[in-house]
Amino acid sequence: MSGIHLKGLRVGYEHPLLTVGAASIGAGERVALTGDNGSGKSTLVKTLVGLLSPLGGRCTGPDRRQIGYLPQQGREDRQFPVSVYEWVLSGFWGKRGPLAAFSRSDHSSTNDLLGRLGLLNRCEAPLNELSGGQWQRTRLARLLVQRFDCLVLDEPFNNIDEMSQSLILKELQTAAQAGCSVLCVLHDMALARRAFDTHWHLCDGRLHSADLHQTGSPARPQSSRA
Amino acid sequence: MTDLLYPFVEFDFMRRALAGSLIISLSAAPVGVFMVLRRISLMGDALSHAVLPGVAIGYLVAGLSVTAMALGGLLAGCLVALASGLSSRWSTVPEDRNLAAWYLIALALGVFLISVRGGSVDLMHVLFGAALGLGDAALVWVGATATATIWVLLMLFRPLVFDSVDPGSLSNQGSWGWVTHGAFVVLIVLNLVAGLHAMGTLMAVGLMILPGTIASYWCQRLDSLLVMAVALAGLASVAGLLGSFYADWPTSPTVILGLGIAYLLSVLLGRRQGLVRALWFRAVQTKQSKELRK
Repeated sequence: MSGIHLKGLRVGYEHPLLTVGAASIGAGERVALTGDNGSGKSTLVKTLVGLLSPLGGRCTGPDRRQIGYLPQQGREDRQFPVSVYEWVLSGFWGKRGPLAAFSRSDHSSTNDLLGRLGLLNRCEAPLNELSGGQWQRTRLARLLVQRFDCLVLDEPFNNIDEMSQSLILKELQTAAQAGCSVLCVLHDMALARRAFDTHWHLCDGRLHSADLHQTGSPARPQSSRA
Repeated sequence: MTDLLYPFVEFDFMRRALAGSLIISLSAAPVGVFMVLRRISLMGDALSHAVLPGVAIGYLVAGLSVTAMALGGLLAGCLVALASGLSSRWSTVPEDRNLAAWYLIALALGVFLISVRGGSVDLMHVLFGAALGLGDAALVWVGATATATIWVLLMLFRPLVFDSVDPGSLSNQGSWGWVTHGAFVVLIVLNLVAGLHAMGTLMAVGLMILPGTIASYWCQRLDSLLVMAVALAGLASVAGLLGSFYADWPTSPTVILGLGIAYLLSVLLGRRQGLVRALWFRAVQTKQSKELRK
C-alpha cells in the first residue's frame, strides 16, 4: 500500500491540537495543506515524517527513510565551503555510502535537475552566495535526486519570487507523475486551489479535505469525519 | 639555503623536533579546519585543559611514562566531551555552557591532584611539553596519532562534511550521525594529547586552530583549505624551530607568533572577508551611488 493514510489521528505536543478523522494521500497525489498560524500545520507535518509521535490513532505510510522532508527553517550552515553542485550530488550519499564514488548516472541526474531548476549557471557557486529563491531550489533539488516515495515540504514558497515558485511547482508535478506523494504546506489559498490535486484546510482542530478535480473550486470544504 | 637548514642536519634534537612538529601539522591542521568550519574553535582550548586530571592520574599511577599519561589524558578528554554532550542532550541547556562547566571541574581536579600528590617541576615540564626535548615514546605517540587521524578523516570525510553543513541530514541515515560526531571529538582529543606531550598546550591548540582560521581568509574550497592549513602549520613549525635555534627564542611561542603574524596579515589583506578588500568595495559602492544620484 503506497501513499500516506491517516485514521483517527490525534497530533499535538502534550494536548491534542488537531484531530484527523480519515484522510490519505495516494501515490502521485499532490496535496496542499493550509491553515491559520497555530492551527497545527507544522505539528501535523512533523508527525507525518516521524519527528513527533502521534497522541492517538494511526498514521501509516512509507518508512521514515523514504519520506523526503523539507523543514521550513533548515539548519544548513551555508558558510561551509561546498558548491551547489556538490551539495545536490551529496543527496546520493544515502545510496553510495561514505566511500564509494558517485556514478555517472548520479552526475547526469544531478545535472538534469539543476538544469530544470534553472541552477546550471550557479553550479560552482558556494551556498552562501545564492539568493533566497535559488537556495530554496537547491534544497529541493537535493531532496528530489533522492527519489523519495513521498515528499513533505513545509512552506517552501515563503519569501521567494514568481520564477522560483513556478519552477518548484513544475518539479513537484514531475515528481507526482513519477508516483511520488506530495504534501506541501502553504499560505496562498489561490495557489493551493490552482496547482494541487487536493486541498486540506485545518480549522478549529479539524482537517477539512476537498478534492479539487471533482468540485473545481470548493465553496465549502467538506468536513472529514470517520 | 642549506646553510640555513644545517641545524636539522647537525643536531639530533632538532631533527626530532622537526619530525614531531611536521607530523603534528599533518594531522592537527586538517582536524582544526573542520573545527573552524563547524564553529567549535574554542572547544580545542577547553578540551586541552580537560585532559589535565587524566594526565595527572597517569603520572601518579605509572610515573613519568608517556603512554600512561597519554592514555589518561585521552580518557579524561573523551569523558569531559561525552559528559558535556550528554548533559545537554538530557536537558535543553546549550552544549557550550556544559562544556565550560565540565572542563573547569576537570582543570581544577587536575591542578588539585598535581599540587597534593605530585608537585614536581618535572611533571609540569612533561605536562606542558618541550619541543626540543622529544623522546622516542612521544614521537611514536605523535606518529600513531597522525596515522589514525588521517585514516579516520579519510573514511569519515563525506559524513563529516554533510554533518557540518546540515546537522539534521544524517539523522535519517541510521547511526552515522552520532558515529561521525563521536569519532570527530575523539580525534580532537587524540591530537591534543599527542601535541600536548610533544610540544605543550600552546602548540597543540595553536597548530590546530590557527592554520585553519588563516586559510579561511584565502580559500573558498574545502580541499584548498585543507592543503593550505597543513602547509601553513608545517612552514610555521620550521620557521619557529629555526628562529628558536638561531635567536635563542622559546620554540612554541615563536611558532605560534609566526602563525599570529600570518593571521593578522590575513585579517587585513585576505581575499575573502579581508578588511582592506571590504573597505575598498564599500568605497567603490558609495562612489557609484553618489554618481547615480547626480
